[in-house]
Amino acid sequence: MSPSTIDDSCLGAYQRELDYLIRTLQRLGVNPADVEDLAHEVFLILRRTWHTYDPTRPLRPYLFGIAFRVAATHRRRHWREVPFAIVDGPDRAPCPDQALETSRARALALAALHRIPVPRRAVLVMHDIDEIPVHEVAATLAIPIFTVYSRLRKARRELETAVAQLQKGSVIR
Amino acid sequence: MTTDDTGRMPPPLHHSVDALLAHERALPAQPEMARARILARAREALRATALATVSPRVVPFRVRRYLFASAAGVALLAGAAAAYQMVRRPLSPLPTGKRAPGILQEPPSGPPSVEPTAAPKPAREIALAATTPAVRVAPAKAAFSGRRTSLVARPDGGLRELALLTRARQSDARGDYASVLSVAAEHLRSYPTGRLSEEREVLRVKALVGLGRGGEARYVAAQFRHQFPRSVLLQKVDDMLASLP
Repeated sequence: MSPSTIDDSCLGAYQRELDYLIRTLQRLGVNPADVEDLAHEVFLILRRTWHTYDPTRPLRPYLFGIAFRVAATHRRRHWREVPFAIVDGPDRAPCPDQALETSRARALALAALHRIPVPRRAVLVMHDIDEIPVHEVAATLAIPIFTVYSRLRKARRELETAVAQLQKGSVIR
Repeated sequence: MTTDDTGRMPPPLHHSVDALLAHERALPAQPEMARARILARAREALRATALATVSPRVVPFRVRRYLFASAAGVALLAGAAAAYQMVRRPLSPLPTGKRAPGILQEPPSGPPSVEPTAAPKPAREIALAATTPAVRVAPAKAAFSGRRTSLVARPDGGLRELALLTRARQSDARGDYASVLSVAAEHLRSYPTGRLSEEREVLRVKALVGLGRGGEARYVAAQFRHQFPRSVLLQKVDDMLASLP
């Protein structure tokens, strides 16, 4: 396969899964200001390792594995930094009630997810949100399958607690 | 999901939380501007990578293996040869009057008649240095002359060699050029590649000139020029030759 063909197929896959990738990075707790940079890092790694990807398997778990490692590296590198003046711009699009409700639910889910430690959050996101089978989660995160089960059990408990707290009127992050 | 999985699977989420996650499962579309920006960046990266990548010559693994083995063999042979040279050189006798080809050289067993009579005396050294300033060669200068000196530190720290040259200088100061030649020959036998060989050769030229043996002086001077092409004493040797009739 020529390099240009590989480039095209890799770029096409990246383009198709861009929404998923961005959302995954947000779920993994990446700062909104850094999401685009990390998405680009994920793309570079994806391109570099594209020859190892088996196209008969779903791309999302593979992409999640890269995103998880990139986000973890980013967190290790920048945990000391204190961001300032990063304010999400207001959404200027028309906001019907239903969309508003969805938006609130998403914000609540995201805020609750952020209260779960990342290793358990990754398992929960992969299995309960992305609906990836347990054995695939274990393979992607390079952890034993029993660890996946235990992390999932604990993450679910933590998520329920977090949602309950947030719905009671706690501050949403 | 297998039956075993069902047994290990933790209890499901509360339905309200599950409903919340259902909202999260639907991926929100990214704004077009952000999407275009991210994709443009990715395309740019691909273009830059394509420009920067120089297609390497693909060498089959088998060939690479042989190349590596050959290189390792050559390196091993070179190392063995160098080690053999280092071990063998000191054992081979050096021809008298010639420069030693090897880099290692055993210190001589010692000239029999030098030490008792030629112990260096600092006060006289200073006086001699004043009388023959031109032929004193600092070791640092000798290092620039391109000659090879022994890498083995001499047990006497070079004092015996210095004593010989001191005798030669004393004879030179007295005008006893025959004695200068005799001591220089002794030095040549004992220290053919000694640190002071450059100075010895200059003294030989000076003594030959002093004795009026112009032909020999020119021959020794030519050898000196060949051996020490960057010597700071070349000008001095030329001046000596110029004084010949």
